[in-house]
Formats: sequence, C-alpha cells, structure tokens
Amino acid sequence: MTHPSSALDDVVHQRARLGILAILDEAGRADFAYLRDSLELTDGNLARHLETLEHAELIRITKRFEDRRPRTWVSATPKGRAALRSEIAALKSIISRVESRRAS
Amino acid sequence: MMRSDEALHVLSEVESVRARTRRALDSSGFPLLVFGVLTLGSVPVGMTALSLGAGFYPQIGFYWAVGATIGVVLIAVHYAWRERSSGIGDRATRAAAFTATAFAILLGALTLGLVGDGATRGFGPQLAISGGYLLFALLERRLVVATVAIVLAVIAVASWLVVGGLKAYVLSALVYAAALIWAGLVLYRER
Repeated sequence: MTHPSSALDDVVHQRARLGILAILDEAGRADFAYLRDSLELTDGNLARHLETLEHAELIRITKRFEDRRPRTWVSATPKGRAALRSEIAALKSIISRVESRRAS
Repeated sequence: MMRSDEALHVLSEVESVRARTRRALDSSGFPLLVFGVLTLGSVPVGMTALSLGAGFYPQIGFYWAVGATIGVVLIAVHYAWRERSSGIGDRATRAAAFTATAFAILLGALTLGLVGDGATRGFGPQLAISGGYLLFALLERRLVVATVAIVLAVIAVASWLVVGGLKAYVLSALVYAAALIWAGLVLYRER
C-alpha cells in the first residue's frame, strides 16, 4: 500500500506556494503586494514562487496599468484549485492514517 | 515520508491563511449600513407623505424603488473601491453575488411595496431586504448576516400580526434600521 505522502505534489507542497494557492482559492484573485505582505515574503522570493506556479499552469498572472502605475494581479486556474484540493486531501489522509492506527 | 504532526501543522497554516483572507475580503458591514439608513429614512418619508395627504404606502413604494437603486449603486462603488485599495477580491464572483442580491432586493421591494396590498405592503420592503441579505449571506458565507436577515424577517411579519397597520411598518422599520445599523457598524469595525 502506498503512503499518502506520495500523493503530495512537489510544486504545491511548499509553505509559500500553498499559501498563495489558498489565498487565491478563497479570494479569486489578489495583487502582488497583498500576497507579499500577507505571506511575509520578499519581492524576489514571491516572484520566484509565482513563476514556478505559473510554469505549472496553476496560476494566471495579469499585468496592467491602474492609475498610471503597473499592477500585477494573480488568479488561480482550475488546475491550481484542483491541485490545492488534492494536496489538502493528501494531508488529511496522512493524518487520518495515523489516527486510525492509534485507534486500532 | 511526511509525519502526521507535520501534515497537521501545514493544514492549520493553510486554514489560518484562508481565515485571514476571508477577514480581508469581508465587506458586509457597508451594505448593512446603507440599507439600515434607507430603512430609517423610510419612516419620516412615509409620515411626511401621510401628513401631506399623499398616502403612506405609494410614497414608501416609490421611496424604496429610488432608495434601493441608489443604495445598490453606492454598494457597487464601495466594492470596486475596496478591491482596488486592498488588492484582493474576485471581481466576477463578487459582481455575480452583488447583482443577484441587488436584483432580489429591488424586485422584492417593488413587487411587495408597490403592487402588493394589505400585509405584504406593510412588511414587504423589509421582507425583500431580508431575502436579499439571506442570498448575500449565502454567497459571502457570513453566518452573522444570515442570522440578522432571518431575525429581521420574523420581526417584520410579527409586528404586522401583533400591532398591524401603519404602526406595524413604523415599528418594524425602526427595529430593522437599528439592527442593520448596529450589525453594520460591528462588522465594519471588525475588519
């Protein structure tokens, strides 16, 4: 029988990237500044995580000018939402596996 | 292999991020305040119309048609401003939720307040607002707003059954307005 942790996705299974997907799943979309401040990341760090998630087609990045200033909006793709759901399911499965062992 | 305590820690972090996001997204206080003030304003409007011999209910119906439209526009502007200033929010989902709620309130206020008669005229607008807010609460997943909406609907109907007539509208409108403004201020400060 395979251990549930084998279902964890390497791209998603990382604190900041999970946080990004959780925010986008809840809010629909968020801008770069909100994600940076909320997850307490540096600009460069967040940019790298976003690049990884975008490369895996889990998020969509839109850059536009608002009030003559550039603004970056990030939203989750259906694939990104599904990846977050399966990650959470895998984590819950790890927990319930241990709990059921303890009970037996 | 991941240990269960690690998994539990990651899950609780995700849940904490989600909770923070929900708090940042929440803007249900402003719509409650707007409709609370509108409800309060309907009482002097109706009484003035009555004293001028213009008829209480037709003027109240007209007041709600105009007032609810202005309220809906104010709330739409507030939503757009909030999203721009906070850097968070889903315009498409929010717009759908907002349109559905505004439509429910307007339709309810118009059909019950203008073309209804007897009891429906008395508590029609409040019932329509309650229905709209119940829908809003479901879409926004706000239990507080859903509770306020249900309690207010019960107050509107109960005051009609117990007191009746014009007094019932005035009584329920005052209670309604106080509750909406109070809940609105509490939610607004919580942000």
